[in-house]
Amino acid sequence: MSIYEKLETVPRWLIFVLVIIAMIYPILRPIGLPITVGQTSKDAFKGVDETPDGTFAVFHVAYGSGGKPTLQPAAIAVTHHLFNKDVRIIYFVDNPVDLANTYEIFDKLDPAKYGKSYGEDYCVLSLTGPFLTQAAIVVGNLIETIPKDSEGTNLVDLPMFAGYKETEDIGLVFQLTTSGDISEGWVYQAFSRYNLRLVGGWLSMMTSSMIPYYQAGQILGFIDGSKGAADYEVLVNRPGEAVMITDILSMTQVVYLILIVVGNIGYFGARRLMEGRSE
Amino acid sequence: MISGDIGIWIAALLTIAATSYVFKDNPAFKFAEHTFIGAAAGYSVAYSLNQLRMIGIEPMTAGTYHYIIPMILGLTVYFQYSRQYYWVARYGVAFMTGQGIGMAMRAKIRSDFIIQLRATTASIDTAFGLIVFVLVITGLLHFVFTVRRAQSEPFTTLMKIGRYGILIALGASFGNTVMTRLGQYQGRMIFLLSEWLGVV
Repeated sequence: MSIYEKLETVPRWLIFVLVIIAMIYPILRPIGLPITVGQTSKDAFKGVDETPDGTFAVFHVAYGSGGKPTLQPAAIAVTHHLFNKDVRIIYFVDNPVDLANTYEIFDKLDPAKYGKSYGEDYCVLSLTGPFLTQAAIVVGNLIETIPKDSEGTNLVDLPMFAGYKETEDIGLVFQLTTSGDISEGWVYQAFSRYNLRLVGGWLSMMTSSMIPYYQAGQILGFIDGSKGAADYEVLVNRPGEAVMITDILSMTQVVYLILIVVGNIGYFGARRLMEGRSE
Repeated sequence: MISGDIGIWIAALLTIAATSYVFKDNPAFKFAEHTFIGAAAGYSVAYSLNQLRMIGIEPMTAGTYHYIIPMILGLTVYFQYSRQYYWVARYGVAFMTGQGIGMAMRAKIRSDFIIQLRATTASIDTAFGLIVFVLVITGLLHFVFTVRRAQSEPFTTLMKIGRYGILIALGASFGNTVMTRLGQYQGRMIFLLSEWLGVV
């Protein structure tokens, strides 16, 4: 077997070991690469920041355990931003994992430090069923359709809902999701049907299908995966896990680039060698 | 310092067991996989039953009697397990499908067609807008198979431009997918090093 053929057949375990080393190194010894904040993150920040005082923000947490490493830091950064504003927040989940994720945000931030308390400044709703119906209920007809929050308290008994006028009072819809149906569903319901201000965040692999909505002005701004979450942490001046992840991303991608180059050298070298033999 | 929390240990060992699949399928991976699926299914059933109680049964027993209609429609879905009465399930499914299409249609046409068409042509005076416009038209042309004239020049060249546009979009999408998958594992790596081993 020639050197080129060996390069073409690098064992799978070796590739994973290299990638894992590239992940561990920046965690143990942070590189601290500079973060250039992207335009979509700036627009997301602006969209959240310009939420009118005294209004409600609907915050949809929909990333489960798979999307948690990428989107939970964004959820924490955006909640930190909203807690510093005069906005009441309706957190909305549709599965038990996201319910746990939402309470973890409160554990990490401690709402009392911001002067916020459950029922007065924020609450958590848990729903089940088809997403478009859930979205229409939450922004269109909440109190009548969903009488209780996730803890079983009647919504009408929560002080934050005193005089609540449904859609008219909603100043922002913010979604963090790993589902294409949900990210597009919010555009259909929040923007197209109710004409609400919409900001989002999702996995990087969803960006190519969601960017047309942003470019067409249907979404004010968005958080693009781990990089977007790191941008948002920088914008709210609260560096956290996402900033650390950016270092890891850069390091692992360098390893990927090296592996791509090695694989191509092997491929073209082996082809030349075969052509030489056949002549 | 290594964690003394039994929950952290279970999470860490299951993370390592799940990761072991990258080397080879093995019993540890199978155990982690089945544990995850079982726990997720159990939680989901409990969560859904709790929702049914809070949002459906309690308001209904408190006087909102018309909630019985969606309850019955929901229950009809279980008739699919009966060979004799499976047709009853179609009522529940038909209602859910019709309601879903009805909710999506109006907003989808506005968001996906009208506004997108307007946005594609609106910024044609900028270089980026022009590139997007050309790639949209040539990309669509690539899928025209029914007109014979479209299979000759200059259409074949335009189709080739469209094909390159599609390939660039797919490449960008693949790159983003790789970045996403890496991001999903990084969280576990940080968990192992910080919460479990305590070295960070």
